[in-house]
Amino acid sequence: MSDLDPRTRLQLLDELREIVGKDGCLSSAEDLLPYECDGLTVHSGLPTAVVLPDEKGQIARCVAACKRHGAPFVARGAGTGLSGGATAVESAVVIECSRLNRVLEVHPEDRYAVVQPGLINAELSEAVKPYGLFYAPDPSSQAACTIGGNVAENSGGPHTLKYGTTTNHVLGFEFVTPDGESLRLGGPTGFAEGYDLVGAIVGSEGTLGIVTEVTVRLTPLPEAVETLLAVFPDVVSACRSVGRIIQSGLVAAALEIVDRRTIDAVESSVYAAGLPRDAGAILLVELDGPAHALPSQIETIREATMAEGATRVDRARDDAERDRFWRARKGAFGAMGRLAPDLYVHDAVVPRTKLPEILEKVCAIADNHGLKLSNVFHAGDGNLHPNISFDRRDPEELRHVLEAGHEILSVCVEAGGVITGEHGVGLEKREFLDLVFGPDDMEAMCRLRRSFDPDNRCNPGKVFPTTRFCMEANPKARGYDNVPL
Amino acid sequence: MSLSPDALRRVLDEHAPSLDAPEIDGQRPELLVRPKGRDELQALLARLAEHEVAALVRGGGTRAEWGNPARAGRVVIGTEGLDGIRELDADEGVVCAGAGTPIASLARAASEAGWSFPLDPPGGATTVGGVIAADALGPRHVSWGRVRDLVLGLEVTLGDGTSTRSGGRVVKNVTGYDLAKLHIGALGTLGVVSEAWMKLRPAPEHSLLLSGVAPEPGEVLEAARLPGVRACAWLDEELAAAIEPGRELAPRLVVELAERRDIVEHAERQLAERFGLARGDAAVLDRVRAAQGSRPEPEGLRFRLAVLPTRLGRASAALRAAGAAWMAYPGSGLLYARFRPTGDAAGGASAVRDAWRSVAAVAREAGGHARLEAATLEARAVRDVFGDGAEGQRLFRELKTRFDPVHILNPGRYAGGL
Repeated sequence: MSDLDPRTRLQLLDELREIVGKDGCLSSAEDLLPYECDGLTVHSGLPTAVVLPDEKGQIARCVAACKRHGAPFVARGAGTGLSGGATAVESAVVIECSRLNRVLEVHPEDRYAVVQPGLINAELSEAVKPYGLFYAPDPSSQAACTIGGNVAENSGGPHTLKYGTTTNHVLGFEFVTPDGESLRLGGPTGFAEGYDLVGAIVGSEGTLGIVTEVTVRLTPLPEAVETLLAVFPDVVSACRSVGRIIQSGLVAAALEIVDRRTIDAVESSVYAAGLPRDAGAILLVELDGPAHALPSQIETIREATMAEGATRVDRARDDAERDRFWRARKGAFGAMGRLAPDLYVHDAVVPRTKLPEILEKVCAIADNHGLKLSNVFHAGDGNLHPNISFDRRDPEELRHVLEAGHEILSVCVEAGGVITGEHGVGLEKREFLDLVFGPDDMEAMCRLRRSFDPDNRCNPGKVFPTTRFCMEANPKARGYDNVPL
Repeated sequence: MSLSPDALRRVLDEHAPSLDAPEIDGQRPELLVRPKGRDELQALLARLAEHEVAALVRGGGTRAEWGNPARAGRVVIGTEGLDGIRELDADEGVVCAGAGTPIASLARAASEAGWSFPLDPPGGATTVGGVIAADALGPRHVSWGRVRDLVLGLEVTLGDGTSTRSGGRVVKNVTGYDLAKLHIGALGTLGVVSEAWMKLRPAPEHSLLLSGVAPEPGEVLEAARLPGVRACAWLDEELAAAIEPGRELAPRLVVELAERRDIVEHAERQLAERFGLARGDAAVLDRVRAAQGSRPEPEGLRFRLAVLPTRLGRASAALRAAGAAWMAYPGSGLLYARFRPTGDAAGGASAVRDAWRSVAAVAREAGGHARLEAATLEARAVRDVFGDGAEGQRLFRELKTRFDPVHILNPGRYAGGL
């Protein structure tokens, strides 16, 4: 589907304005510019229009209007995504849900809440804190990202090691199909009859439809939290200590490693956390649970880290110190971001035991391309984030960044890993989907997509290698017609 | 223009069909085939699709009568040839096994490697593929997760013979669509699983089992949610007497603790002091699983209700009043209700309808829904065993049409008769 002809566009705009009001529909060039990309700034696309519904029924009606005019559309939360999931391809109409930002119901005894898709992740946890509950998936962008976006990407964060990802915390939702039909899928019990559409939609990157109201699982706040920071002479020993921790049977709430290059960048910046500059790697450990049980768990951590050569292990004595430890990790992106105008945050996963060898290869790749790279990773689950500081206005440097990205993903897949642990495939990695999946695998995924979106108008151009991919691989070519039931 | 029995045998000759096909669900399949490996499974399904021959897939047979009655089935596909642990990564805590692998083998292998296999559904012969197809669960599901929380990647052959993989072998992965979710619980109607990567759980340092007379519903929930609880079952007096005979006739609470030693000891003290629970034999949990059930009883109806945990008290009382024996997993709000058959065979269908009416009303009141999980063929033919609440029927049909275009896979068994 190519860009709309001018008359169709005008008709569509009229209808959209009718639905969301004039103030809810942006169509002038300067109004559209802020929406030309999301957190992945190297890819951009101007939408035909941006609508800002403030009531869930408007979402369905906007989608129906797009259907009537054959227009593609894409949902957007806060636009913090890092794979281009909210970027408009084929001048799609952006349906931005940030005005639907409320907590609608909280059921503390049954441990669920009903929320609007534009609700900011951290605000959800804040809202349920008085009940002794929180919303467990906590991506680094949680102060800005929305629940709807989390659903689209199956977002994780540092605590997925213990608590899982979004798909483990979404019980159901109201959902608008690309036809504009509204369905209620799943529900607060977390059990539903029929095919698990909720499970298939979470992580589908906004390509199957739009969630308009979400029922989420709430988790009890742990009685106590302990944060430890261990300093290692190198990354390999830090990784090995993680192996020991896991083998001990202890399930830490978070296990994060930061490498020397990152420490350097952090300590040279305003995020300086007082880390020893000559440290090869830092391991941040978070434990949570009943207060009486944590001292022995701290001992287990001390033993595991010292056994692998940690030069010191500090325990945060209060919240201020805890924040300082976490700054070492969370400040990484900010610190790297200060080295150059742009930051490319890669996202790959390898089997945990392969981390040290992969990190060596990643650093070598960056060095070969002359790039400034540092590594931050969720050591407990093998999810690495090589970060590259660069200037995208320099086409040579950009080319190196993208090539290095491809090489990094290739070595990760060769090691038994995958191309994305958190950020999604989006626009960014669609050309690399075939590193992981063969043609039949992708064709099966297309069958899912076509079940929801036969016209390929729902966030086109994402996940699959080309924008037309799911249209070209058509099972009707196999000679089967729809069999009536 | 369907194939004659002889022609069918010739078409499937390469797969060494046997005439020993078990009767399944009222169907009398002509042939049994046991493909050895994914490639043979692929070729088999492609042939069956080409000739529009319906197939019923069978693992350990522990849940062969789940779902609606099969509409057809000329061939049984046994998954014995798809068994075997391909890889167990004891550092990562993940395992890859063929669909025909009995869960018991996986549990043994995990334990030898210092891990635990987290799924503990009733039914000794249950296989990996069966657990996935039925979304089977046991008492430990609340703490250790359900199938959907534990499957990392699947290899599946679709109803037209296309072999596909989704997910991967790593514990964190958002690459491509999560197709595994569609196959979990689908009773093999969208594809036949040949292999799965799954997560293991760390073997707990210490575990023990406690039981006692059940406290008030609010306190039951509190007990179920204590740190260190791996499983908590709440049984009415009838089922309690079956699993722990000779005790006071009263509803019973069974709690399995499994965690680091200090957490277990602390929880044991709390459960003893507050609710009077005392140590029992670890084998009691096996009897809880038997009480939950996998096969249908010879007669009778077993419903599974999914309700809000805070409403379990009222719901279980209402079921008792309606004449059902019940047990529940308070941590997740699952409630199993067993109705004995009426003596009157002619009244069979109306007895089923009466039971359904009671159960559906109880479930609705309690914020959830119900399914008829196990019953005779006749009872399951009375109405859709999955109830008729689910929205999304149109999408279910779209998926079925694309994943199994000629409807050869377990036809009729799923929701909406798919």
